[in-house]
Amino acid sequence: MSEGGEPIAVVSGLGHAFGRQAVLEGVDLEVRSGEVLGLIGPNGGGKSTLLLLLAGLLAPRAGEVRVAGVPASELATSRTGSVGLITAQPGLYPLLSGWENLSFFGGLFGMDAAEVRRRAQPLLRDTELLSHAERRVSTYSSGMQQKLSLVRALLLSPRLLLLDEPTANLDPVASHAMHAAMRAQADAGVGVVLATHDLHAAEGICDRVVLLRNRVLHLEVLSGERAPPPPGRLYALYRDLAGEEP
Amino acid sequence: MSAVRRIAHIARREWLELRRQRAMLAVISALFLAIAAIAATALLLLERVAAGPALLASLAVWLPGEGIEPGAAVDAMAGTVVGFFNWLIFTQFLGISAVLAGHTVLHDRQCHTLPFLLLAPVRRVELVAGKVLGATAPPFVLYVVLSGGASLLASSLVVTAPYADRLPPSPAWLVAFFLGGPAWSLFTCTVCAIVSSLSRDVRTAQQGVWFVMFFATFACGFMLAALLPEGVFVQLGVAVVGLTATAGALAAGGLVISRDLSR
Repeated sequence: MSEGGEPIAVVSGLGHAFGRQAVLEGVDLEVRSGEVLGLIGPNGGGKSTLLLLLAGLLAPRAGEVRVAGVPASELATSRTGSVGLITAQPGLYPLLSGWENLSFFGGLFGMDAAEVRRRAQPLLRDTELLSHAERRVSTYSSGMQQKLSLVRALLLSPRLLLLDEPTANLDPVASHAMHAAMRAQADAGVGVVLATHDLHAAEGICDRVVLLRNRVLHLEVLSGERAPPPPGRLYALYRDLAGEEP
Repeated sequence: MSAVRRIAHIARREWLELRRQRAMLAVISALFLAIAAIAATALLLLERVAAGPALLASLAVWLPGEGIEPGAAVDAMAGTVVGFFNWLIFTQFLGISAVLAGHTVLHDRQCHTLPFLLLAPVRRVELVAGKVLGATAPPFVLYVVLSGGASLLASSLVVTAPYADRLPPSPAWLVAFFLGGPAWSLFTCTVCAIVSSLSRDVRTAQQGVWFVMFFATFACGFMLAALLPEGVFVQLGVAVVGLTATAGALAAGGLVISRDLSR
């Protein structure tokens, strides 16, 4: 953790609404490099909307979002690839292989197949997907698909990694691996924002946790007190019995 | 990376995924083959009637009214079959392509890939253009091989000789088949893809796509087939209008759809 890291994303006076339904109002937030910022709150509290606004996939009704000094709405056209996104649904093409998915998404950022391979190979190795990369994604387990989604997000070496319930469909072993990867990215200097309902995980891996409720960012419920809880006996038993990914 | 390369990159992925759906390709092939088989059966039957004096004499007995010459009746029937066959092949090609183009956006919604596409430095118009080209490619290949082959077969029959201007290798047919049909297919596909991407969910997208597809394909198919006797220049005009309409649809799409995921 590097609490004094430079601000990667700066949100000021942010407001958003879907039709007449206000979702966010007057949100001010800063995400610094090297930290995992947790977003918690009830369903409909605006967590996913805030992530989409940070990614530049929604245009704010009020206020401003800047990522790496660039207005979020111009992120895609600025071609920096500075934001990586992971959602609860992996967002992959099932009839394409792992490699083909990575080549396609990398290609959208101007990478050729050789560059995608060069960048993806170590990431696939780290996520234990290298030997499965030629298989169609439809044959992957949920955990493998989410790992591939992580590899895609990291392919461009993003400065800001946004995760929306990334472990919602994962078993405990895959969840643990995802959390470890998140933490490793933050330790490498990436700013990570994690929207989650998993308070136990948030407590374990987040440097700061903020609560979004009734459209407003209420309070910083946890700050600088990260203390990863030791895996419980049940987790250890589960990991031993369930083993590795198929 | 230029816009053309980005469009080609998106089209290549679409093509790759579509050609792995063997059941779908079999269904499309079956549709084209069914149309070809119906037309071939009707034309071969007329060819047999025209070639046999006994059958022609029988036809004279069956024909209602007086004064209808059996040979002229066979010619008229062959003309109707040729016209109907042309209308069907254009309509089917346009309709199948439009449905596939509309479904490409639905597929992205279903696979939850849209946010990841929109994160990339790709304009939505490029996205739609790539998807439309990719979705049109598999039916275009089947249309050329199966419908083109059936049209060549039809043109080799004696009974279709009076309608050579509506069959290959007449210049009007070549322009309509290889230029006009694809141009209007791109137009209907673009409209369907835009309608689909403007819709909030799969059901509303499907309703819009089917509505546009039904009227657009029937009207465009009719126009292409009905104008075949008017000659090559008229067909060239039809193709140019189709390409212009496609460019207009893409430009309009760029105005009404944006990078904002909520729109």
